[in-house]
Amino acid sequence: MKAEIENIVIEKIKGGDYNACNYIVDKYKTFVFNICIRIVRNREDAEEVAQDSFIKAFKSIDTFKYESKFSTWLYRIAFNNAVSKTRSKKFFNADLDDNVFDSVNHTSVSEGLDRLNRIDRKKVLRGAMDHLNEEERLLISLYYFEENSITEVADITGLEGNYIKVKVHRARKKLYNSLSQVMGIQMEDVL
Amino acid sequence: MKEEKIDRLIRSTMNDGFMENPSPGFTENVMQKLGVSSQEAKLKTKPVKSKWGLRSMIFIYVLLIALIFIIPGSLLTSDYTLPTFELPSLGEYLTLDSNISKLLIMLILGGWFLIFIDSYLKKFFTR
Repeated sequence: MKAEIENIVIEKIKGGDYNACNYIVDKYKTFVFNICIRIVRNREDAEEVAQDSFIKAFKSIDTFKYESKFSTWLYRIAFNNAVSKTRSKKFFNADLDDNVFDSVNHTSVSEGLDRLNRIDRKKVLRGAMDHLNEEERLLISLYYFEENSITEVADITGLEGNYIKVKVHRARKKLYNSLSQVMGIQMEDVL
Repeated sequence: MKEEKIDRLIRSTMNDGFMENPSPGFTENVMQKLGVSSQEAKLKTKPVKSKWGLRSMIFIYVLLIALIFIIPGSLLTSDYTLPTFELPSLGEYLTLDSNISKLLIMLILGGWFLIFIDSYLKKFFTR
């Protein structure tokens, strides 16, 4: 139903009714902004880049042919816009020899997260995300938010699927490890 | 299996207000950059006067005036004459000859025509 409404809105915008853009901006602004802030690393610049990304998307909406999800198409515009703003094409050129944390105890992480309430879980996740580098944080956000698949993350970033798969896999492992560490620290604080 | 559970928990946490929010005026700024303000959105419901309606009105008036000067000459050679009107109370000073009556008829009919054309064009040339 939501997708149907979205398609109607998209068709309205294609027909030149920019008043309908309101719906799209409200729906996607948070994530578009978060993609931008992870790349440009400055709140003011991220706002500007995110707004320009929406404008760019609406101006070129005729090129959206429903071949992917609208969100994927929009996030890709935001991603490219942010990368070109910072001119940091090297953002994704780090080699794959990252430190991989293989000593993750999945059971303790899973049970630990499960025991936490909603607010504490957010706090722990935020703490764990701080242990990741910028690239990993962006990939993890893209992967987890709105249930984007590896293919969709690859579509957004324009990088090869296999590369993304390896990077996301490693970033998840690091995140689990960070979660385990952060939860450990929290538990120590409580005790 | 454990990984799936962790992923599910992270995903639900991330989709539950975890992200940083843009400033409150974000949407309004985008709409302004697009050239659409909330005030404009309200005005959108009102019909906007068509420039094309005005242009067509001027064009047709010019055409009518031109016709008035061209047609009388050609009518002189034919048997057809338009009726003449005489205002009895004012005598011969305000007797309307065929050309003047033709002018009046054309202006009246032309006026009706232009009103119709303008309202018709407004439907297609409003934003």
